[in-house]
Parts: sequence; structure tokens; C-alpha cells
Amino acid sequence: MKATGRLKRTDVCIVGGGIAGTALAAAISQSPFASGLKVTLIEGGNLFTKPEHRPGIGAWDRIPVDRKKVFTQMKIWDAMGYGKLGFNAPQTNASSCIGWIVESNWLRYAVAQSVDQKSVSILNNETVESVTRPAAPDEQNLEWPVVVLKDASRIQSRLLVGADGANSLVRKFAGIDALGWEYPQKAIVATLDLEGVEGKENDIAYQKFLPGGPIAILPLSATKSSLVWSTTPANAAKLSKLTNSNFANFVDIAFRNSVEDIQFLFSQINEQDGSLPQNINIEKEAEWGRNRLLDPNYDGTGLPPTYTILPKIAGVVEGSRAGFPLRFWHSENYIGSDGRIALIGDAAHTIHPLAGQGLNLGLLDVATLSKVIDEGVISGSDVGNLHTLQNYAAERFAPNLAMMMAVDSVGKLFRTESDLIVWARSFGLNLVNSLPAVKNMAMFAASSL
Amino acid sequence: MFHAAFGIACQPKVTAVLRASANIRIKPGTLSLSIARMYSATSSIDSAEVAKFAAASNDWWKPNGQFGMLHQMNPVRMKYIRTQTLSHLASLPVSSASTLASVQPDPAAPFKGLRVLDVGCGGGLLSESLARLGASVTATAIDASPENVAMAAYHASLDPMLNFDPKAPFSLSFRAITAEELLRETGSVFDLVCSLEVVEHVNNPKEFIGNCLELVKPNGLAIFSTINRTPTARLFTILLAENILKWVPVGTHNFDKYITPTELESFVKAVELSSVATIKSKHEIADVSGLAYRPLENKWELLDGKNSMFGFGFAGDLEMNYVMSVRKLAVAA
Repeated sequence: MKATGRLKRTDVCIVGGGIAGTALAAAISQSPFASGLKVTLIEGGNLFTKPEHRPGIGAWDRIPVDRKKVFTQMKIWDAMGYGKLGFNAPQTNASSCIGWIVESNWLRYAVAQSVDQKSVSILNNETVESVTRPAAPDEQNLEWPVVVLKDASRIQSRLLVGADGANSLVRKFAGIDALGWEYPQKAIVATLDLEGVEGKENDIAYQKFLPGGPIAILPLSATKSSLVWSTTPANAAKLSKLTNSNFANFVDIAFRNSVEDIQFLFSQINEQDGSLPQNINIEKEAEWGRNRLLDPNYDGTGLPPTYTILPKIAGVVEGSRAGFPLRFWHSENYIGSDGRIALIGDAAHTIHPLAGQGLNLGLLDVATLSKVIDEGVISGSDVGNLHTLQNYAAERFAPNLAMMMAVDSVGKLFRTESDLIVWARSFGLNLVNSLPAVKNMAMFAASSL
Repeated sequence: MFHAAFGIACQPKVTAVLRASANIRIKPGTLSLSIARMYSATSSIDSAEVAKFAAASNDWWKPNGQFGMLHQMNPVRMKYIRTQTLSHLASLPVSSASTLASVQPDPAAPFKGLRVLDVGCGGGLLSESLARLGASVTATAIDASPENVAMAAYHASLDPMLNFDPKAPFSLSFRAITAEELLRETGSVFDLVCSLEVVEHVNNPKEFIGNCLELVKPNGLAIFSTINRTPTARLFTILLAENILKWVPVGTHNFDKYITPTELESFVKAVELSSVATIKSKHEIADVSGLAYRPLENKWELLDGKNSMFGFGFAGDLEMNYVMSVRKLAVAA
């Protein structure tokens, strides 16, 4: 065991400089009430490394225009049936939209620039070795938890915030169990080059429910969209072995062709090297799919909503493809049983990405926790004590779980191939589509912060 | 550090108590403590005694222990004190406010520059909160009990961000002294005097309120909270809280000592006329609000005191716990 090093005391110690952790540091440092608190933010990477070199000005403005994109329409349909659902942003004012899609490394960079370093000390490239109860003679008068860094120096804080992701060390230290399951799915992500976008600019999000899971493209710029495709681990493994051009054509096909077509093509991919047999011309398959959309006699099964001209997936941005497992985890509690600990973002809950709500839930955690810290400071409370933190847990636990369960049920509903359920969900999507009030509520819940 | 300063050898835990209670001299082997000036004390301490204070303090501060309800109530009453004090300061003419916090207080430490007294500090819950708002706080135990003061000082010493140096711009000191004795020692020097959930425990509330108000300096503020003498209060604070739910020990409250808002107001007004008053001043009731517990949300809530249902034997918002703020206005001689 290493000798214990220097001890530093701080009011709030945030482990993990992801978007949630960094946003919390920014929120505390900018609050007129809480800015008097000393904050330490520990991050494994470097928060100040720009993703690419670009000039910047303000917080949101620091994100270059081609790295953030407003979207005004969402088109969702079912590969197996006739269900279709379209959302349009309210047309009442020019700036209305359904939501924004932002590249996460740019968002984090922009948020990091908003951290006021007068009260926040940022430890970049730092690793937390362990989280412990106070032990050394200089720590033990205080019940405050202690974070031990790789050089054996220690940080003791009245409030320790776990923003350290799904495998949170802080959560393990607090003895908070997480309940949940791995989905029988993996997510494949990539940045795609598009041709022939619908309308003047690329401002429509598309999502199609395939039996293995949903495939979605979300606008990033006029000619680029971000792909999130949840599918079975076997299919994901095959997809990850395809060449970039075959991958682009395969995604194109997945949006337009029938489930049988897609399943057949999956069966043809060589598991070892991702090659396709000579007799299959995937380029031609994709072209056939694009032409089929224009055929007025087609019965409409698995087709996108009427008047939709899907853009052509023309290519993949080099180095943008990745895959990761999907899971549903929810912590039993967001705070330690004696206070002193709070969990935010993925440390508290991990959600299926099909509705794109993971970041939103994390940011809602941040908004609530920083409000609760403000209230604590206003009333002169110790912001790490149980009575202060209880308000955070009380406000976030139930709404987060509700959103997670809703997203989970939608996912389960669309993974099934049973005829009855396929009929019922087509009926459901069409019903929702025909009831503006229900649609507005769904849209509000999914995008409002 | 403190080992050296006080010339004693003790367990590391003991140093924490010394930091906070350096102005208390503790004789070895006994529980008699007497007041001594900071820095001039030649203290020694028995570690068994410290363990005793630590245990008492732990009990007192347990979030769900017998003072759990008080812990829940604290943020609400603190917000009340903050709002009342800041609006009082803002209402003062600039000349008289000049010695107080600046006209535009720092939201992070709005009580900076204020000298605040907490009479009847219990475990130090309110005193610590007042100190975190930037005030220079003196806290005393209701019966000048040294054990109580040592217990409160022990807990405060656990927070390294609190300052116990009386020369610091904001600080916290605990003293085993009665309001009466303190008045003889300091005179009317406090910008704000708080005595919350205390007056229902004292033997002569009229005299007690008088002393508290005398400790307030002209153009200062006093804030009192207590329990109204109503059947509802008896039902909830004694029958339910003590006998049925056992939230607090039986005998904590004495119904006959509960005080109605009218009585409290008469005590406040009586000081204006009494011989105790050394400075001519007028006592103005700035506000009376109710404090209600919401069991479903497990939260306390401030009621503005406007909702009253007299006629049914109910006092509306002021039915149970209530809080009163009193402005002490200087009268030109």
C-alpha cells in the first residue's frame, strides 16, 4: 500500500468530467449563492482539449454550427406493419424546433468553458484510485468521504458527487445497489454522409423499428447525420466488420427495404471478415430500395410516412464507427443513506438510447442537484447532509424511472415479431399520429428541459 | 497545533473540541466548565468527557433521531430569518445601515458584518447555519449549561469551513452564559438576536424576551419562534409527537408554558415601558408567520399568517408553531 499523501478539503468533489459532471461544476460556479463553495472536479481526460481546432465565442456559440443541428421533424415507422408517426415542430414561430442534436465532445468542451475556475479546481488527466471512509488521523474527525488519487493524495469533501458513469466507483463505495439488465442488443453508432436530403436542409430525424431494435439517423449538419442502430449482438458483430462503403449501403437498405431483405443480407455477411458473396451487389440492392419507394403500387408495409423522401446514405465519416452494449440500470437510491453522496447521470441510471433521453435525464439531474445545493446554501445548511440531499432524490428518482420504463416498454414492444403485437403497435402509432394532443405531449416529454 | 498551544497531550479527537471550545475551561475529571477568554485559557481536558460530548452531539445531530423534526424545520426557519433580516436592513435609512451589512449583500454570505446572537442553541443547528451565512455568531445555551455548550461546540468543530476565531470577519463561538449575564457583559450590541423554539421552555418568558430584546442594538432585529397554546398544538406536539409517535421524549413539552402570539406580542411591547430598557426604542412587530409540518412530503412550510379561522376556536396559520420578527427602532431622545 502506498503511503498516504497530501489531504485537501473541499465542499463538493465531483468524480467524472463527462457532460453531467462538468455541467454541475459550471452550475455551482455560476450560481450567485453556491459560488462560495469550493468545488473539485476530477476527470480522466482533459476538459480543455478542443475536439478540433475552431474559433469560438460564447457557451452554446462555442459549438461550431456544423457540430450542432436543430431538427424540426421526426419520422418514426415500423418495419413490420403500417404504423407511422410524424412529429412537426409547432409552426407558430420561426425558431421553433423539436430538439437539437449536438456532438457530445463539443457539448462537453463548451460546458467546460462555462466553468468559473475561481471556485472550481479542475484536475485533468487524474484517476481516482479508491473512495474510502475517513481513516487517517487527519481525516477521522470528519465523517466526510475521502477520494484517493493515483499519487496517493486525498480529497475529503462534504458532498461527493458520482458522475463517473455506469460503473461508478462512488456508487460502489456508497453501497448503493443498481438494479437492471443487459439488453439483448448492442448499439452501433457512426457519422454518415448524406445525399439528397428532404427539403432544403437536413432537419428531419428518422427512426425505424426493426425486429432486432430501432435504427435512427439524427441530423448533424446539412449533409451529415448521426446513426444509432440497436441490434442483436450477432448482427452488430457482422456490421462492425463491413467495409465503410458496404456499411453505408447496408444502413441505406435497413431504412428502406423489407425485414426479409435485411435478414437475408445479414445472413450473407461473412462472420470472420465481413465480406459479402460475389453474387450480391449491395450497391444495386440499395438502389432498388430507393426506387421501390417511388412505386405507387407498393402496399406500404415497412415504408416511411407518406411524402418522405429518405436521404441517400452515401458514405461514412472515417473513424466514426463504434459499438457498445446496451443496458438498463437504475440505482436503488440517488444519495447515500447518511447523506454525503449524490449520484448523477449514468452513475444513477443507464437507459436505452432509442429515444435519445440519456443526456436529457442527466442534465435534469444536474439542474435539480444544483437547485438543491443552492437552497442548502441559502438556508446556511451543510450541503452534504442528508436533509439537504433528500430533496434531490425525492425530485428526480420517480420521474427518471418513469421515463426509463416508458423507453424500455417501447423498445420491448418493437422487438417483438408476434402478429398481434405488430398489428397493435401499428394501430397504436397511427392512433398517436392522428391525435395531435397526445403527440404534443409525447414530444414535450421527450424534448423539454 | 493545538496540542502545543494548550500544552496537553490527548487523542486526536480531542483537538477538534479544543478548536471550538477554546474559550471554555474544562477542569479534569469534573463537568464544571467556566468561561474564559479566548487565547488566555490554560485548558486541559479529559478524553472520556470529550467522548461523552461527542456521543451526545452524535445523538443530537442524527438526521432521523429525536431532533429529526427540528432538522427538517431548520431550512425553512433559516430562510425566514434570511428574508426578514435582509428586508429589515434594506428598509433602514442609509446612515443607520452603514454599520451593518452593505446595502447590496452578497447572496453567498448575506450576513457578512452582522453580529448575531443565538439564545438557546441546543446542538448548534441554527448557530452553524447563521455562521455559514457569513455572520459573526455568538451562541449560548438556554440554561447556560456547559455540557450543552461543549456538545454544540464539538459538532461545529467538525466542519473545517467554520471559523472559530472571534477576530475573523465571520466566526462562531459558543458560550455557557445566560442572556441576563451576557447583557451585563456586552450591552445592546447585536444586529440580530434569534431565540427559536426556546421561550416555551423558560420559567419567566416575559423577562426572557425582555433580556433578548435588550441585547439587540438600536435598529436591529429579534426573531422568536415558539408553539401556540391551542388544542391542536396540544394534540400534535404532546399527544402525537411525544406519547404516540415517540418522535421526542415524553416531557419535552409542557402545554401550560406554550405562548399565544398575543401574549408574545405583549411581552415584546412590555419591554418598551419597563425599567430594563436602557435605550429608548420602539418595538415594532414586523411579521408573524406560521410553520406547518406536511407529513406526506416530510417537509415544513412557512404560512404567511394571513389565513385565520377565528370563531371556531382555531388560530389558522398560527395554530401551532409560529415565528415572530420584531424590529427595534431607535427613538430620538
